[in-house]
Amino acid sequence: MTKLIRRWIPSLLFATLPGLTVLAGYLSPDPVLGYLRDRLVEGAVIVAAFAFLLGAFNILRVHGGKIGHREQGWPYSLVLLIAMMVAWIPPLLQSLVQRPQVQETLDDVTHALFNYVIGPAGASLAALVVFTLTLSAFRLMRVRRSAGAVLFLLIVALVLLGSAPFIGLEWLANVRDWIINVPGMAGMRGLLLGVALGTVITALRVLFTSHRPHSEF
Amino acid sequence: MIHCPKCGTPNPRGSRFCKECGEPLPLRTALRCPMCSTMNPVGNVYCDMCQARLIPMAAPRSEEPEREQPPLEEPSPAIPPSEEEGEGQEAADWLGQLRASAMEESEVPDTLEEPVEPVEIPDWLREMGPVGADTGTQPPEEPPFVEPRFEEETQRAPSPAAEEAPGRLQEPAPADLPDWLREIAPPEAETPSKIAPPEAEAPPSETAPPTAEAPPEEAAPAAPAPAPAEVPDWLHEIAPPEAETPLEAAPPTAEAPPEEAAPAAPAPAEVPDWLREIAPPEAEAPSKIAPPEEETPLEAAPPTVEAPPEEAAPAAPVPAPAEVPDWLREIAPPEAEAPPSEAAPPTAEAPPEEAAPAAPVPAPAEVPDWLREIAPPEAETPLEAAPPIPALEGMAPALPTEPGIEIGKPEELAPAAIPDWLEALRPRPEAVTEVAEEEPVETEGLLAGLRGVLPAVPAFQVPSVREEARPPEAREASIARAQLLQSLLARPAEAPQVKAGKQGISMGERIQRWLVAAVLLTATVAVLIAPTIPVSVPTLTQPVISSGVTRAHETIQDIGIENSVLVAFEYGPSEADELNLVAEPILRHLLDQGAQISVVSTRPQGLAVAEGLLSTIGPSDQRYPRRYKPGDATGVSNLLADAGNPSLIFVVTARPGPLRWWVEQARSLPDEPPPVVGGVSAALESAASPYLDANAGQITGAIHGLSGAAAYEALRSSPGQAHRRLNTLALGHAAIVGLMILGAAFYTLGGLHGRAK
Repeated sequence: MTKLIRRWIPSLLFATLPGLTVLAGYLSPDPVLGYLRDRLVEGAVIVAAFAFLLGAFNILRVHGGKIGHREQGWPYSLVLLIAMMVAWIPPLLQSLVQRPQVQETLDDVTHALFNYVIGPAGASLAALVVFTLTLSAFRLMRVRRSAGAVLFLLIVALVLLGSAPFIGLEWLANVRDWIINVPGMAGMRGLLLGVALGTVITALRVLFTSHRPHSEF
Repeated sequence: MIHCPKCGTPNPRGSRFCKECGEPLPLRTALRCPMCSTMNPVGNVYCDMCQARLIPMAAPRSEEPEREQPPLEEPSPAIPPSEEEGEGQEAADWLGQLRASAMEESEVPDTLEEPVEPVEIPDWLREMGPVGADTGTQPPEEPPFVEPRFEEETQRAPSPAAEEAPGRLQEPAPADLPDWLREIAPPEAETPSKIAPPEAEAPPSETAPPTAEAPPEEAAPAAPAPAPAEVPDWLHEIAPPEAETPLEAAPPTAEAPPEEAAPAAPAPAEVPDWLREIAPPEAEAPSKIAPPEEETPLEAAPPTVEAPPEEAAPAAPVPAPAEVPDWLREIAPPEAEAPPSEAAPPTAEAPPEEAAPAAPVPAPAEVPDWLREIAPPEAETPLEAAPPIPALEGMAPALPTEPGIEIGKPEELAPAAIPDWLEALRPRPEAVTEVAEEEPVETEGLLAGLRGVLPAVPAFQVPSVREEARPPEAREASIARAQLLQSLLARPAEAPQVKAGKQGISMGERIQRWLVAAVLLTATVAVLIAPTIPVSVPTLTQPVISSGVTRAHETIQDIGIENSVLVAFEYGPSEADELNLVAEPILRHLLDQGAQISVVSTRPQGLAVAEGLLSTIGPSDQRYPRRYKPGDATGVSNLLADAGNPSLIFVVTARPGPLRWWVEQARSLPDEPPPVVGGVSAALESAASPYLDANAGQITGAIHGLSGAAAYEALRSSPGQAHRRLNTLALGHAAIVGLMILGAAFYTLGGLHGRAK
């Protein structure tokens, strides 16, 4: 009885029933099932929102402790907390204060942060990926000097040059399209099929309580 | 291994009967610790668990019954574990005996005066040549068994004194030999039984009678001709008086012929070296004690060997109590240690007349009781030697001057090798040097009043068979590890030092990194700055229009005024730099077509990105409906449901998930699914291509990356940001390819050059 209560009832209540209901809401055009599906998903979203809130408080606690104890790298923690407050407070005040002038000012601050801080920072990180990949390609032959490495470099060069072909080298675009649409698509289809099968199997395991990531029992 | 209680033969574990004599063997023999009741293997002197002494240091005395003490059933602590009650009783018994014996230490003179108790000699001891010969044939009136050295003193004393000696000398013999001594008996003890059958016939009670009471004349004929070599070596070793046997052989009171002293001597030539090391004190003792003895008439006699037998007897050196080896004295009971120091002075200093009555008193006190119990063979040797033995008579002239060492002809004696078990008993040097001066007396508990029951660590160490000396290397290694651990624990905790990234980079790698960065920056910045320079920059590339771009253009071209278009911004600021360029030409086209654009997203950043982009390309005062719905696929479904029936769905994303959600949910709408146009990053082109397949038809058209956007602008004949950046993209791609080729060539040639070297 204890095992039943501890193990099976929570799984039935929080995994099997909601999962089957959401699945049925997708498969059936019944509005009742669709309504139940939406409500359940909204509940999951609310729970996820609280999870984000908990994450934010955890960041405050961890980095606040680092700053308080002057641990190694505490200035970085200080910068992190300041940036978090700057990005957090204006939208919070925007939702609390209803005066138009304040609303407009806070809106400008939010857009400035997004367009001139968050956006460029994200783009810089993406550019670092380009630099890292280029350096890795440069040193590839040092690490592995083989036919596979040569083939890899050759395909990368053809796709890059074919994406924006110079005048007179338009034929490279056709080569690139063939590489993308034939071998590339075959590989991608295989990956997508594998991901889909894995998703289905995981969903079935959770639905039928064979896998209980939501429970410790 | 189970040793037979009768013959001492070691039998395999689990044997029920002795393989040599057929004696029933105890099923499982073990020593129960009197303190903690732990069963210890036979041979242990101390308990493995609590280090309590398992083997009593004082042998129980036979006069205990007279003192209304419970009779000793078996002095040996070897008890079968199956008999639980009996074990406890036996353990209590021997402890009680031990306490009683300790209390009697101060009454030694009285005990010496007590009547003689018959000594029960085990069969295996009785069967040994000299022993059995005496005991089996001697009548009870034979002189009492005395340790040779003490017998010698009695012999030096007047005969009346010698007659009194039995009474004084007779230490209360134990009822039986302790098992621990019986266990250490080697199998060789069985061989004499075959040689000396008469002793086997003698009842044990007859063997026990003190030989001192028997007249020498009677003992002499009764003694068979024992072969000295038949005496086991281990008895030679543990019986110090062996060295004195030739001297004992000719006491004035003993009527044994002097010629018989020679055969009575065991084979001292077989004494191992390590015993010989112990022997010197015994050999030197006569010379040390000789001066005081010279004062007496008896001491004036010449040495035993050189003088006639009658004269040799009084000249025999009196072994001092200190001649007992230290290691034997250590394992002797406490009461055995005290008497020697007290008894020695009168032996040497008293005149013969006075010493005669006094001699018996110190003499027995000098010999530990436990040694006297196991010593019958040597003690009876002179009595056994009384009858003339033709075969051994000839050995008398060959007796060396040093007693006990070189007596006998070595060629006549079988060489005896030291058995392993005896070798293991060899006292270690440190054990010998560390002599316990005084054993502490227990003051409380069950052992109150006992002395030396619990070892005063580290007073002395009794060599144990089971003790295995560890190699010194292991000890040193253990000590080193312990010291290392202690130092590590004592060291204050230190934060791990983070190595700077530049420390592990060589100059060549730094040059490579700077080269790559410089080339990329040059290719990018130069082209971006080029439009600001009045110098016209030639067009380096032309966009290639793909089928996906063409189909997307045609689809949007069909969108008319008042058609609602759902634009999903499923990307964030990190992908905005690319995807904004992808979305811009299509949004411009939609705005030009007059479509009603609704901005939706399942990501919280999506609406902010869309707002920034639409504010740049559209009218600044126009507001587009925006809707954010979390929940991934469910959010997409809700957004589609809220949007009604859109004419077009334009999805801009850099991830495969959102593209799949929109495609799937759009296909699941009850009405005819709206066309879906994708604007994806260049990296996602391979993932979007399957949906773009003409046979699938899930995506009507698609724009992939900056080149696709430039192609779309080319289709619309309105070059925009994408077209302007296409040159930068082409130069950047060319720079990357150039660096790849340069690196490949550099490392390939470098590798070949290294191989050539």
